[in-house]
Amino acid sequence: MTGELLIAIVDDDDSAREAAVDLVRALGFAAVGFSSGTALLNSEDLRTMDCLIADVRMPDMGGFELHLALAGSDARIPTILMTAYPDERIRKRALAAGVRCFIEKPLEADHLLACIRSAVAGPGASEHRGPPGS
Amino acid sequence: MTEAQDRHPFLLSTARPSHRQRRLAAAVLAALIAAMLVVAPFAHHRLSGTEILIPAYAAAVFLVELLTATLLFALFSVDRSRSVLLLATGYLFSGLLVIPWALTFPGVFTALGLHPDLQVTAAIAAIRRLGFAVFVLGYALSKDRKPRERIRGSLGKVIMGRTALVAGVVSALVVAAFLRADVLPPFMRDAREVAPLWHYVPAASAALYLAGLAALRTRMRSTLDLWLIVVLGTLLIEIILISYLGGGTRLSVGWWAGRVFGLASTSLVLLVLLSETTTLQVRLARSVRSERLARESRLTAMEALSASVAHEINQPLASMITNASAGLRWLDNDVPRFGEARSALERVVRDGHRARDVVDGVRNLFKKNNRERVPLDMNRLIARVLHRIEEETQLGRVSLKVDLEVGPLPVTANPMQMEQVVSNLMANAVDALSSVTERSRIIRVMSRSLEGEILVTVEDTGPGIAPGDRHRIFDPFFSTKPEGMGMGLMFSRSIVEDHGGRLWVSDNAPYGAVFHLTLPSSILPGMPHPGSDR
Repeated sequence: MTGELLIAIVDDDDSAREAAVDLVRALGFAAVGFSSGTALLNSEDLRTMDCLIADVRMPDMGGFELHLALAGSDARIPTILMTAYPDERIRKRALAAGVRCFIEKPLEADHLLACIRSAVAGPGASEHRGPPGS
Repeated sequence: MTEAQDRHPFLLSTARPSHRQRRLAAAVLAALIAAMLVVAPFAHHRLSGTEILIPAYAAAVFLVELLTATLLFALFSVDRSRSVLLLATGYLFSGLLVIPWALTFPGVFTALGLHPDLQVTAAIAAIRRLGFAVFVLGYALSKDRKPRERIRGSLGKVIMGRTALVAGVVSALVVAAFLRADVLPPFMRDAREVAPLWHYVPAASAALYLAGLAALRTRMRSTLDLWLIVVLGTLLIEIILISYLGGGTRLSVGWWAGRVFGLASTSLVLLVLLSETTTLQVRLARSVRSERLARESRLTAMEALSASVAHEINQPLASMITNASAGLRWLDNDVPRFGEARSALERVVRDGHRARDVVDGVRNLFKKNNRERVPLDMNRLIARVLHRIEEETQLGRVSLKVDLEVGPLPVTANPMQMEQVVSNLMANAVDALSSVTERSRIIRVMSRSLEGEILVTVEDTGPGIAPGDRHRIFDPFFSTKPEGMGMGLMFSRSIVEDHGGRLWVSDNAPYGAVFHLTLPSSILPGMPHPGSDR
């Protein structure tokens, strides 16, 4: 499956991260897990990522801070934030700051797929394009 | 502790007398006996013309006895015990009879045209003295009866009825004495001197007083019982002064001394009962307040705990759903990927176990045996904890100064939980001292027996608690330690409050913090009750 999109998944909870990585893979993408934002920023593969899915609540650096750090650098990766504690205020702030999707845990396969597709299609793109990687 | 003491621990008729009160009561009786001995040599001297003091004396007695009766009726309205009602009735009876006694006293109210028969005053005095003694004896003998004999129904009606009955009986007695003065027993020879028949009255009164004293002494449970002993002792001294040392001669030094000492002592008893009622009320208010605070803080702790439990269970549940979705996706592929689906299902099982562990943990936290309370000696428990943390204190170069109460400190508590509390306080003290380099690291553990409770303090010479943090250190998830969970002091406080005690912190001078822990003391079988001389 050459040319498939590579998705970075950042979550401090091991089992949640493993599950998310596997679901993204089952959806037809390649996926790599990181246990913290710092781990992703220090990764050599940072520039190869096509999309980032990060948890909002993490110690040290939350998903939103990670997005801001990436947006301020030259490695701009479309970001999807996920959280088990949806908060309308944070959602609005995140979307205003360029986050593509703000989704609730537990992850729902179809919604996640739609989010990833719209995120990698670039800003302003419709959510439904051709299936990726197939 | 009796059932009544459990229901109303803050009433005169149920609260145990304190050590201080017992000493005061003994001092009052000793002073009265001393006064009696001082007066004895002059008891026969006559103080003629002192009749004019009779109205003042009678008014004072009337007021004191009526106030005491009112206090006792009020006590009855809460306590609902027949014996307290009986005692209140006795005071009312005695108080009301003082009026006709003074009105008929020879040579006092002559200006009003009252010239009653010589025997009327003495008859009233006899009825009053013997009647009151019978009422007190009745109280002493009936006070420990089962609560099923408590009075039910409208209290206002009961008290009004009782008052009307006493007033009716007193009036009837007085009217009868006036109308049939000719058949009254010849107690008096003349207006001053008693006849031989009178001598039966003080003898019978003294016998009743002694019986009442014996009954109260053997069944003394409450503050009221203690002060009734003083009242009976006073009356006994009074009758000795009036009838024996004073020879029964009216208006003699002994006669007056007996009455004045008696009045002073009964007034003192009334004052003590009043102040004691106020003190008990303050204690009641305080206990209601601390109970409410304890409930509130338990609620906060429960909220914090449920939030953290919800989080801990939600995590694996969310992972399970995500894993299951991934598994379904693998199976839904054009070419089903069984191996991938299988590993997704394995992770579902793993997360399921994780959720179950969280639930088990919570269940253990509230295990039933946490509620079990046994009598234990707080000093021994402290010694056990100190022994266990010895190594830790040595490693931390902390010097331990132990100053425990001599003798046992009995409490009723859950030993495991209480050990947790004491270890938590000790561990916090050791942690607080770990950053101290410029002065000696000292932990001082002290235990004391106070009135009705025991106090344990743990002092350290660490950096102390910042004023802004002092009220927060008992909050859930608040910690001043980098590795702290912020649960130790919160759990400690809810354990202590669950045991009816308190846990708080204050500054230690010049450095550090002092944690204070109080628990209600209890009586261990075979151990003397602290603060009790029995």
